[in-house]
Amino acid sequence: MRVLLMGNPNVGKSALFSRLTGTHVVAANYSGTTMEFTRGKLKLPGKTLELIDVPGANTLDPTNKAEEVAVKMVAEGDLIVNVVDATNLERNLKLTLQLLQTGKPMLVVLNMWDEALEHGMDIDVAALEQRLGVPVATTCALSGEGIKTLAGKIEQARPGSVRFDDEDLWSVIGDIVEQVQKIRHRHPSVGQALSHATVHPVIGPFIGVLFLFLSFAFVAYVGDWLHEEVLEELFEFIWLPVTEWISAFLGGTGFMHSVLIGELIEGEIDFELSFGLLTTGLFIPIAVVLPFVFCFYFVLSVLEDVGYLPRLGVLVDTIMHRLGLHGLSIVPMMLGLGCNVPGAMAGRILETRKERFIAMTLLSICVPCMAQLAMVAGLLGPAGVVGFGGVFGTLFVLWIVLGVLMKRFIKGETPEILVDMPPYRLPYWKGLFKKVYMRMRGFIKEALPYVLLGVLIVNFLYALGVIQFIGHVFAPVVTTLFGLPQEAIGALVVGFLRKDVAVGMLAPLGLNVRQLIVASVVLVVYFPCVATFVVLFKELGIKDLFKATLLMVVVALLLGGGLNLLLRVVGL
Amino acid sequence: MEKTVLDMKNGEKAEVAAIEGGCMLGMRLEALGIRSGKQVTRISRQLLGGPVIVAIDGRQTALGRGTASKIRVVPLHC
Repeated sequence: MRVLLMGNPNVGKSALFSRLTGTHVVAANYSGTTMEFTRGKLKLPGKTLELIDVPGANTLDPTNKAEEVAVKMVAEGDLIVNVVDATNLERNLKLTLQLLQTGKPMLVVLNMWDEALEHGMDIDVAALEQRLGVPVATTCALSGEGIKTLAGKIEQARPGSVRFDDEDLWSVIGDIVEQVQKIRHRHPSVGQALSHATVHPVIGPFIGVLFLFLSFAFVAYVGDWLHEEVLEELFEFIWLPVTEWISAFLGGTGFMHSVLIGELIEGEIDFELSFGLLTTGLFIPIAVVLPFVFCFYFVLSVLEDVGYLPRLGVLVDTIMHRLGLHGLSIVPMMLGLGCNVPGAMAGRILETRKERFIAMTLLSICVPCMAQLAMVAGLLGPAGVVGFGGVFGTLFVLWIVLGVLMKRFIKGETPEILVDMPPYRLPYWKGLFKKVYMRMRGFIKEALPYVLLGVLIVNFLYALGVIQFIGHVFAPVVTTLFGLPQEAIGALVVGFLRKDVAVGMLAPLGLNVRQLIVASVVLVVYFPCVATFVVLFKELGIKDLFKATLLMVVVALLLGGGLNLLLRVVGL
Repeated sequence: MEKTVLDMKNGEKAEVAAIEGGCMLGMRLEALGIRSGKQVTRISRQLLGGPVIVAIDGRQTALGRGTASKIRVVPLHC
């Protein structure tokens, strides 16, 4: 039997899904976190049901992609669990009544029950059950309250008894709300005052800049501390002796040695430079990148769960319209800073083809993922402010220029922003850490194999002389146009697979400041990693992907060449 | 004394009289609780042509200015 979990956007379906199935799907405090359905198993005494987390829908007359998916799913379900935001009963009941009209067995869940009580809302559950003719349960999906009772009630689901004509929908709803809901008091809460301040036309942007600054400072400082003081130390004390033993066992040279351990730097293993599977291959993802990924996802998850992201979208709406996007496209951009893959997937919350094309192209060209950022930051360390400013300033200007150009030349429309501001909520820490853990696990599962594969391929290609050959073929581009040493081609080749490994390959080349800036920018811009490329293909289709790729190559050549010239002129 | 949400003052309360424009816009607004007969409060308007924020049933919604100019309201005096 197939059970559908349905409801308006941002009512907590995904949180409830995680609770009911014991698996974990990403939930956040804004509409559109789930754009495709997720399946899971719901174990009840004596039987197992299939549970599906359906994307949020306000109505069964679809007005967006998520609702189209939801309408299709209704036909395939045997039983519907309709999740309702108890603090927003009236608005939610439209979908409830439409679902009841399908005649499928149904159960209504009043989620966020704790919040409703806090806000002084009394909902008469028995009266609601009687009016709708289906069982009603109350839950708080975040803390898990009421989940057991809900699971026990699922089998009591039955077709509803409420009958009405479509024109009377809102009067029926008004009537039901009048009867079952009593609001004792409704004085403005701290959350509401905060909500006003963060979207205030003058104060709001200041708060926004402050939040973003604090977020980046947290990632930079805490990430760096974890990297240098914790993980690097662990590698030195625990892993170094092991690799030294293996190195000695392999005799310090030979093909196996260069694959597993890599090159010895002045007779010693150097985790950053040796480039073996067991040395640099593990050190880059775990000791360098992971600490920053962790800090980034922690901050992002806090911003998500508090409900700040849609407000940030409102603040940047005017700027984004200059780039042919609206404010909500800040969500894929922010997610993309963690990893371009979920960033590109979040591009689905944008409505038109034009917006999706612009957002995903800008994302894959100008927004470096955290893995890349961490490595580039490490590489640029010696180049100081000039290096950082050169790379990130260039990327930012490119982001604006490309956006303005695409707004002009890409056909199609950019609709206005229209978004519900979720109430501010204190993060539920247990859930938040679970989410950070899930994303870290996702990173390790996705990244580690590619990094190891990248390192392996580098070693093979060098051993076979392939990179040297490609280096000769592309020498004019790399040396003349970009002003880089011929060996840098190796990094560009590996960059197709994994950008962090590619940046790592630049470390031993002894590049000067100009070369560091050019190489870093070109590596970010010229092509997304394989994993992002696959997602772009799925989301954009082959034709638009081709256009986007062409743009990447052209931009990389022009920008790399231009930067090289410009920096030479200013004497770097 | 009808005007649109775009013309309202911050903090002003009004009742939605009608929604102009296509049927799709009406449905999307209705999904966010904005329909004829509902009471709206203007919260703020972002600078430089940015979105307008309104509150309905204690929930805030951000609307582009084009959308805000299509929602006709009758101010409430209380």
